[in-house]
Amino acid sequence: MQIVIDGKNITADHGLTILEIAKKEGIHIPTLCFMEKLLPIGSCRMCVVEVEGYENPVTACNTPAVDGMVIRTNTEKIRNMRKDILRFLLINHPLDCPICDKGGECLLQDLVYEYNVDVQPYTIKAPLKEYKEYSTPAIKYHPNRCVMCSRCIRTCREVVGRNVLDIVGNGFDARVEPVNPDRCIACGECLSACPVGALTETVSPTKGRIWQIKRVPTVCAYCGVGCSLELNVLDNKIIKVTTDVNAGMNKGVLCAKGRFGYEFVNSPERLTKPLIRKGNELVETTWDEALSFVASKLTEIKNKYGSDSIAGLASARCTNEDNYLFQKFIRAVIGTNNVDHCARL
Amino acid sequence: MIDKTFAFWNNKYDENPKPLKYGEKNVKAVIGWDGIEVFDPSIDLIELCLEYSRAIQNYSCGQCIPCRVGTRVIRDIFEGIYKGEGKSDDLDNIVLLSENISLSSMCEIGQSSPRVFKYIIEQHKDVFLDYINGKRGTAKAFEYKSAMTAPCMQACPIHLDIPKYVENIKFGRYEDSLETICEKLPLPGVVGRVCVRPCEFNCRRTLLDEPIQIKHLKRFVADFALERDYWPKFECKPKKNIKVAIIGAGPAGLTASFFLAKEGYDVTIFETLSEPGGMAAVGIPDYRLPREILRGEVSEIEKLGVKIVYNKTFGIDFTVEDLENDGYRAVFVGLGCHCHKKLDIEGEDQNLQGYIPGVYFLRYINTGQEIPKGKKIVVVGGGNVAMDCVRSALRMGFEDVNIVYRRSKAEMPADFVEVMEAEEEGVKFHMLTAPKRVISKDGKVVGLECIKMQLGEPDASGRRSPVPVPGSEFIIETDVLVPAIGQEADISCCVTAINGVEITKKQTILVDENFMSTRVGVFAGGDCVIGADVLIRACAHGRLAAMKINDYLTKGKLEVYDEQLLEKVIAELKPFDIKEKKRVPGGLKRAHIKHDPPEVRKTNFNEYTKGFTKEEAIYEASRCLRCYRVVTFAYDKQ
Repeated sequence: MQIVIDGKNITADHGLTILEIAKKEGIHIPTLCFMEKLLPIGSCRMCVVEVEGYENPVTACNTPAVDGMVIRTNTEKIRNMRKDILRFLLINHPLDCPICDKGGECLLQDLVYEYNVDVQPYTIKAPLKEYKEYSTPAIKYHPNRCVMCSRCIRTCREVVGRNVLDIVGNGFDARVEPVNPDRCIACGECLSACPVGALTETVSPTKGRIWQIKRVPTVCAYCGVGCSLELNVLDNKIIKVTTDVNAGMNKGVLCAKGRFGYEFVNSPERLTKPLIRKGNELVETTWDEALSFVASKLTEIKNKYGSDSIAGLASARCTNEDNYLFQKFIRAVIGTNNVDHCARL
Repeated sequence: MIDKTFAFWNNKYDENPKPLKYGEKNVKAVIGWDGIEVFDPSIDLIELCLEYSRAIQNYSCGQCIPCRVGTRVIRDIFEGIYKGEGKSDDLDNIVLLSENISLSSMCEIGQSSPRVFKYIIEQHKDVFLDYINGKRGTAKAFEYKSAMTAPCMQACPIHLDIPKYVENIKFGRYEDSLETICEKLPLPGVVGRVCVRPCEFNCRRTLLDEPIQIKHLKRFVADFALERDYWPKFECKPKKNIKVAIIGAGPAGLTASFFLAKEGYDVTIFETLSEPGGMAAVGIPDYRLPREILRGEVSEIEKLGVKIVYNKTFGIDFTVEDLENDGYRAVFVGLGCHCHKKLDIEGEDQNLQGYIPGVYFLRYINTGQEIPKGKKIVVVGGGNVAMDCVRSALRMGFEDVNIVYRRSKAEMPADFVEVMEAEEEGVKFHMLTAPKRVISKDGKVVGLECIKMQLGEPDASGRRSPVPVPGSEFIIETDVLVPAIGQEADISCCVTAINGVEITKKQTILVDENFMSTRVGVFAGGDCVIGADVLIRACAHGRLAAMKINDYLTKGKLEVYDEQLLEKVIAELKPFDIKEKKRVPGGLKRAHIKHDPPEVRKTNFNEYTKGFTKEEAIYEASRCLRCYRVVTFAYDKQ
C-alpha cells in the first residue's frame, strides 16, 4: 500500500492506522485520548489530519490508511483546529497548574505549550463542577481539570475489565463518574491512565513534582508475579508509585497493593530491632542475644521432640537467596522438610 | 421578522415548502441537521436557534471536545442574544464556531447540527442584529420539540438506538450494548439472525463504502451474553395484581408480554402450538434461526413471570368472554399470518397429493410432521418464504429444487443474500415465469405448466409488472408443488371469539393508532393487523401495544405517543440521503461473515452462518459513523 504523508512517499502494511504509520516514519502527530494499549476512539480530535479530496479532516488514531491516501498532518487549517480544541479545553479549566500534582508532566500543559495557546476567547456560564466521592479513597477526581479523554474509563474496562467508570451527563456538563463503584478494586489503573491532573493520588501526605523526585525502577515485593514499577522518591522517601508501560511483563499494570501499598517502607511502626518477650512484654534486644535465644530454643525442642516437631514458614517478600538459605537451614540444620512460604496460595 | 416562508433543506432552496404536521398540529418551523424550514414567517428565529442549540448541547454525548464544549459556547451566545446581552462580534463567533465544530467533531451530532447556523445568520442577519440592538425575546408563541434520530434508527420499525449499541461494541461494552437493545427489544438473538435489516439499507456508511453489519452485531452481543450466561437483569415494577392475556406467543405477543411483565402485570400467553415463537418458530427454518436461540430468549421473558399456556387455540378452546370471566382485564391479540394465498390457477386443488402451501411446508418441517415426498419440487413465489421453502426442500433431500417467479431477480422481494445463498446451494431459478396450470394425475401433482413473462410498465408498487409472452408455455415436471406467494391472517376465529371486533377488507383486525380494536380492552398487533410483514415490526407493535395496555389499565385513557408522532415528522425530513456528499474517506470493507460451504450446509438444518469474533465485531462497529441527527421544530400550542 502506497500513501503520502506530508509529501513523503510511504509503503505501509494494510490495516495500520495513519497514526501508526506516521509514528514509524517519525512524523509527529499530537494525541490526547490515545493510549497504545487501548482501542483508539478519536474523541479528543487532537490527532486530526487532512486527507486530500475530503472536506472534513479525520482522526489519525482510528482511521486506517487506505491505498493512495494523501495526508497532511500539519497544515495551518489543522493547526488552527487543534488550537481551537485546546482553547475549548481551557474554558473553565482551573489554571491551578502551580498546585497540580501533574504540573510538569501534564499532556494538556505540553499541548498548550506546543500550540502556544495564549488567548482563550470563549466563555461558558457554568458553575464549577463539584467534587464527588470516587470509587476508591486512594484517588480524588477533579472534574474541572478533566479533559474527558475517557482514558480512565476505557482502561478500567479494557485493561482491568471492571467497568466501574462511565461518562454521566450530556454536553459540557458531562463528567466521569464511578457508575459501578462496588466493582472497583482500587487498582489505580485509571489514575495511571489520566494524562492530566484530573485523577490524583491521596495516599501519600508528601507530594513531589516530576523535577523534584527521582524515579527508581524496581520490582514489586508483594507477590510472585514480579511486576515492574517505579518508586517516586523525594528526600529518600517513597511518595508515589508509577509505572513505565514499556517495562516488565506487567506493561505498566499494577494492583492496589503494588500501586498504593508503599507506606510500610517509611512506617514508624515498622520493626527495625529484634524483640524478646520477657514476662508479658516484648523488650528490645540485640541481634546477638536474639539469635542465641532462638538457637538454644530450637535445639532444645529438636532434642526433646524431634526435628519434625519444627516447621519453617518463610516470606514471599524475601529474596530468592534468602528463601534458599532458609530452606537449607530448615532441612540441613533442623533436619525436617516442614518448610514453606506464604505465597503458596 | 422574516417576510416569507422558505426552506433551505438538503442544500435546496424552496419558497413554498410542503407543510408538516405534528399529529393534528401545524408545524411552524423546523431546524435541524439538514437546514431550516419556515412555514410561518411570524416565527422568532432567535428563539428557534436557541431551542435548537439547547437541544444539540443536551444530546451531545460528552465525548469529543468540539461538540461537547463548542456547542455549549454557541448555546450561551444565543442565550445572551435572546436576553438582550448580545455583543457585536457574537454573530461572527457563531459562524466561526459552527464551521469549526462541524469540521472537527467526532460524530454527526457535532458535524451536522451546527452547520445551519451559518446559513441563517448570513441570510437573516438583520433579525439577529435587531436583537443585538435592543429587541428582546417575548413570551413564546409556539411549543418547541426536539428529537434525536439517525437514518438507521428511523428506518428500524422499533427505532432501536443503533448508533449507541454499535458504539458500545466498539468500546468493548458488550453487556451495555445488549442492555441498550433490550430496552426496546427482548429478542436480540432472534432479530440478530432473521431481521430484514432496513437499518442497513439506510446506513450512511454506504456513502463511503459498505453499510455496517448491524444485524450481525446484534447477534454478536446476544450470543456473547448467551455463551457467558449473562443476560441483562430486567427490573420489574411491583406486582399490580392485574391479569392481562396475550393470544399468540409470536414475536408480537412475546414482546408485549415482556413490557407488560416489566410493568408488574400478571401476563399469560395462550398459544395454539406446543412451543413458543409463532412464525419465528414454525415459519423460519432452523438453519436460519436455531430453535434453542428462540427458546433461550423466551425463557428469559418467562423469568419475568410470564406464563405461557400451550395447545390452546383461540376461538376453539376459549374466547375473549372466557378470558374476561377469568379476570383478565385486557387482551392483546397477536395471531400472526398463518394462512396462505392460493395461486388461483387452473387445476389447483388443495387436496391433491403433492400440493402443499409454503407456510404449511415450513411448519410441518419445523414441527416434525410429514411432508409430501418426492425428488422434484417447484416453489412458486419470490419472497423470503419461497426462499425458506426451496432451501428447506434441499435439506429435506429433494434433488431437483425449482423456484418459479413471474418477475426478474431484481424485483424479488426476498433478501438478496437469501437469493444468492439459495443459488449457491443449487436451487434452479425460473425467472419471468408464471404458473398457469397445475397438472395432476390420479389425484397427485405431476407437473406445473408455466408461461414465460416479460416486464412491462411499472405498477402501483413501482415494480415493473410482468406480461405473458403468448405461446411460450412449457411444463416443469414435479412431485411437489409449493405455492408461496403470500400469507393472510386467519382471523375467522376473531369474528366469533371477540364480540364487536371489526375486520378490514384485507382480513386483518381493525385497530386505532393506539392498537385498540373496536372492542374496548382488546388490543391487537403484528401480522394480524397489518398483513404479512417483517418480524421486527411485529415486535414494534407488541412494545407499543403493551405500553398502551398499561395506559388503558392505569390511566383509563389512551393517547398517541410523541414517538409515534415524531416518527412521521422525521420520515418527512428524510434522514437518509444516498446522494449526500462524501466528507471523509472510506475504503473499509465490511467484516467478512463466515459460512459453511453450500455443499455442507445444504445437507442439514444446522445454523450455517457463523457469528463475529470479538475482533471482527469491534472492527465492524468501529466503521459506524454515528450519524445521530438533531432536529427542533415549533408547532402550535393548541
